[in-house]
Amino acid sequence: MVGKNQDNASSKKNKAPDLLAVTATASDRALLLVQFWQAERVRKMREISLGSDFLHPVVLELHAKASYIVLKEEGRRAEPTEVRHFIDCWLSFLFHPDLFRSLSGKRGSAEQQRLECLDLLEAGEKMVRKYAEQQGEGGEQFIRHWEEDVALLKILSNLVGEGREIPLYTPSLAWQAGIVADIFAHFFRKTQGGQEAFVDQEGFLAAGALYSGVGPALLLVRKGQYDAAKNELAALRKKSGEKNSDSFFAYGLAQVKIACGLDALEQGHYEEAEEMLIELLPLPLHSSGLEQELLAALDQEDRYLNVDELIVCVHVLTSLHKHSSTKAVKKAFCSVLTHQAVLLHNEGVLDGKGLLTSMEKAVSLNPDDEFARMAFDDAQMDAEILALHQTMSAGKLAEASRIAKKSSYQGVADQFFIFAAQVMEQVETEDYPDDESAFFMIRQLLEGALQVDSKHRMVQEIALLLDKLEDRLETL
Amino acid sequence: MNPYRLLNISPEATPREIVQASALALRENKHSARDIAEARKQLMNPATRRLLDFIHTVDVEPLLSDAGEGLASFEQISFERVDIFDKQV
Repeated sequence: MVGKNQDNASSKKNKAPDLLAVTATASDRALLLVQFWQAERVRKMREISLGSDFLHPVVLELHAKASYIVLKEEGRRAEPTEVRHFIDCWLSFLFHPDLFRSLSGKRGSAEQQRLECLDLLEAGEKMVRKYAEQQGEGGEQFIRHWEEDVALLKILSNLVGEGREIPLYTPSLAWQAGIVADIFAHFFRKTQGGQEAFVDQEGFLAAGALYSGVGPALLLVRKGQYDAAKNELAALRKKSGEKNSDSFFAYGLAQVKIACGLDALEQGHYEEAEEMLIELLPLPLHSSGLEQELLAALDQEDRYLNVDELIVCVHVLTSLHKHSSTKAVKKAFCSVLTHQAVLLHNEGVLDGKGLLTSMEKAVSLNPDDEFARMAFDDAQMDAEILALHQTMSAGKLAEASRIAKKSSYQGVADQFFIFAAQVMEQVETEDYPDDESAFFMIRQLLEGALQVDSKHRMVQEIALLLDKLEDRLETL
Repeated sequence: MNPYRLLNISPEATPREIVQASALALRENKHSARDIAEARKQLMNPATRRLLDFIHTVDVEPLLSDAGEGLASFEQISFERVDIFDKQV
């Protein structure tokens, strides 16, 4: 799903646009940009252009190329924001109708141009991959950013065909340049066959969500800036009360809440995590992929030893199960419920009865879960052994033998005979008030033992003791 | 560093001109031998040269022309504006 490392957006050199850029007119900024390009001051160029400046194809081209040079020269030292700027400008330019002006084969065939464009895509990808590999674990997010945007722009560019009116920008640059509403309207509202171009309806919703009102929050999530994404959600809530019935918006909102909720869970903010993950339910229509993603994140092996996390996961899954009882939900719910119950029982927080109740529910959710079945068997056997002990301690040997006989667990029968051995020892050490009550007790014990397992070796021993007691009574 | 600037040649330079410019740059000693060798190597390889041509060549005239006109509408560049730029190319 989402990247873990937050972009260091507050680095000194990228802190804010140059004061000149803010105060200058667009024309001044354009001239300055060209001057900087000609003077090869490529590192400073990113600070010059603002918002709609990027709509000018030459401005976009200058930024695409300057950011390529910066990334090549900076290598592993490049700031994450520089890498993201490169991805946005490079891709937006490669998918721009004006690209052909810059291709060496501009007088060549469309096929030549297409191949050249593919080479440039490959060059950009190489650059991003090299950077990502140098960043270690945190680099994965840049590859994901590149791959997601390439896939998105490829699909959308196929939709427009000839004579397109709208330049196709990556979601992030579209927001920056202020054309997001137009892209959204054109590709997701007006274009025929838009939905069919995607693998499924969910892919269409996910793509449109990036250009919908919830897009900025989604883009923050992509950068791993969860707190900022939450603030963005709060601002949205104030503005529209989250009442936007748009399906793209609803899908994007669920994506953001899942990402932020899971981040809160990782950070140990359990209450917040639970609140966020439960309030997003039921998931919007056509979100089976999102559901899978959520289930995989909740039912994770590394959560199995953390009671607090498991409690949140069980609550979320309980709520999710009320709205969606798919096999996948049942499977995850069963797994998490089992691990929670076993852990709580081992820690002495949950008694045998509670464990059995939980395990009954878990097995009913997914009878194929081996661990759940095993834990259920253990819980049931423990409950029967407890009942056996209670009846035997109360002297109700007939009832105890019925429990042992009825049980499908060998352990329960074993416990009956262990208890029987204890009774015999008491009798043999003459711990009984009198021989007569001992005789009746052992006779009852023998009858019970015969019921439970007539071939058990203890049966013979009990019978011998009974004979002995009978002899003793007769001699009296 | 821009290899064309480093060797003081145009993007249209032939392989022969690249070799000559490299020799001259070495004699002039304005850049390190390593940078000159790297620039020459990149420009002599057709695959890397195509990318370098793309990266280091920008026709800024349309932008300068728009900026020079004062561009009252520059700050509200619309899609129609983009179309106009298309026609200028």
